[in-house]
Amino acid sequence: MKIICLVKFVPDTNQYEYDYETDKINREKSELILNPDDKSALAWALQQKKQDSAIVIEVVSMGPLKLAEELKDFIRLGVDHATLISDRLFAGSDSLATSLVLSKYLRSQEYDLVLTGTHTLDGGTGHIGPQVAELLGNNQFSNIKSIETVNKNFSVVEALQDGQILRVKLQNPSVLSLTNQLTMRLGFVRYENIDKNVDTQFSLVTNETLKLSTEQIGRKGSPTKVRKNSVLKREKGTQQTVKVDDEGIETVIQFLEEKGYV
Amino acid sequence: MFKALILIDNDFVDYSIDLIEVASRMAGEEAVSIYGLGINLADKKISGFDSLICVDDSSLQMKDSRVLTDIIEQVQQAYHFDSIIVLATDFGRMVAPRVAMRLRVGIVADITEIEVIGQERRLIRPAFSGNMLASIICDSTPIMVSVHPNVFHTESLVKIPERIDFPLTELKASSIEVLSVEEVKEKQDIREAKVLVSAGAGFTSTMEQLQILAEQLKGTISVSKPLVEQNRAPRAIQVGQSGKTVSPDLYIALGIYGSMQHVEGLKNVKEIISVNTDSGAPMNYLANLVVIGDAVEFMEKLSLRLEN
Repeated sequence: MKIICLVKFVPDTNQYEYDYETDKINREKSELILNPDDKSALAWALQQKKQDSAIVIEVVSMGPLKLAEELKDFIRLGVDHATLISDRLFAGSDSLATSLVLSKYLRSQEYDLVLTGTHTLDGGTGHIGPQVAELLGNNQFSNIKSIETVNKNFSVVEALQDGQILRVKLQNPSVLSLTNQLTMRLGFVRYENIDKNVDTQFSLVTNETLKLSTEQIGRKGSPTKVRKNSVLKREKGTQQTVKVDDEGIETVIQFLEEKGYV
Repeated sequence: MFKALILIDNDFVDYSIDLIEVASRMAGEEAVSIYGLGINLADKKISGFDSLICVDDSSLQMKDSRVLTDIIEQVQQAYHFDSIIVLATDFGRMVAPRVAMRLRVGIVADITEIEVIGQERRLIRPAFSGNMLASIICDSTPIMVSVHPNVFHTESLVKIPERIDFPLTELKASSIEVLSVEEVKEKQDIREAKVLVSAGAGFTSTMEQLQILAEQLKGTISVSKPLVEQNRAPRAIQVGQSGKTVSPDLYIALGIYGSMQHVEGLKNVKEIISVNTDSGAPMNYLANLVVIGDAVEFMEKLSLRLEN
């Protein structure tokens, strides 16, 4: 059985540099980390492989060239193959164009299951899973909190959606979007593997391979365009500032009493 | 005439009806005709739309986003809407992008505002963290958007829509089966809470401790995104763009920085108390009462004081 893990690297929102002058995150100085939901998906796949060595895992990511090393570390962790899809022609792609690029590559591969995350740490749209599934003609489900059964024919999963736990059986191949409620750990590369050369298991895929028309990718291929980013100016109302001391607490109590909350 | 289609979510009919406001605003100065799409709605009361397209087929697998995409595609081919609007529930988030891909159009997720300038429709959503809003235009028709429940509200709902029975042409059978459904009852939906005691990255104690203060104030607990990412709280109680949009009378923000993605999840909040060690936190700026200091220490002191 072949599992493809579709993962995204995102700026670490817990440890970013914030520029108060421009009210922006400094993306240059912010570190990229593996998106938590995607990490759960990859960790789950690796755990399955431990139990069944016949499982083949490929990890696929689209992003800048500097991610090559991160992806090679996944091979050192036990993934069979890592693929980085990177080309400056892809820059500026919205979810439609990104999904076209990813699915063009995925269609050239054989697989039984595509695993990915539901949410992204950077406040992304979560469109990629459903859109890739649509292009591949596969079933898709989001908010998956556990995977009960997976085989070549079907998957049985549990998803937490809108206040319901749904147990769903999907015909494979399917795209399963997981959440980090799986609470799986990725582990660390074993000491003896830290410098292991894994180049034969790594591929870099550019548009020379995918051969997508430039009309379909990048800014040109993206129907949604950001017109402008604006800093929101908010009206500052009458405001009182206190400290966490007896006087401050009394002020809070008084405020709550005045407004009728206590 | 600007023609808009709103997909009605059977589990959230009222929130779906609120999307009429989105369609009206998107039309701008143009005359607007608003259609609802109801799939197996049964006898649910629907008002406010001009027309209601009804699809009734009990054999449909309602949790298969591919099946819903097939239906919406057929409806779109028959009516050529200028815009398709979907409620951003967990399931709606599976359907909307799939439909956009089927129709090969762009989609803007979780919009919080719409600006119409001449022919240009600007869809506004919070940008990645920071104190920024992005104005996005869509170069494709229909314009597709997803909208969080509780962001927009519709007032006059007297209109009784004209019912249109839509005959489906052959659909590909579903290969998804729902084996069981279990209702997870949250103590209270944070969208309906009058008082929310909310914890953020600066809150280092447990959810159980937070619950004590919430109960003293007859309120409900909620959190900001970092606590969900750290697995310290479920996403069901997360406020913000990737969580829920809330409208309590009182919002107590404990150690919440106040990124745009969080603040956009607060609509029509009457009073805000913000507790933060960082006096420059954007959350403080929005608050009626700012407490500078540690969120946990504040919680303990306030809790003790309320007990006495």
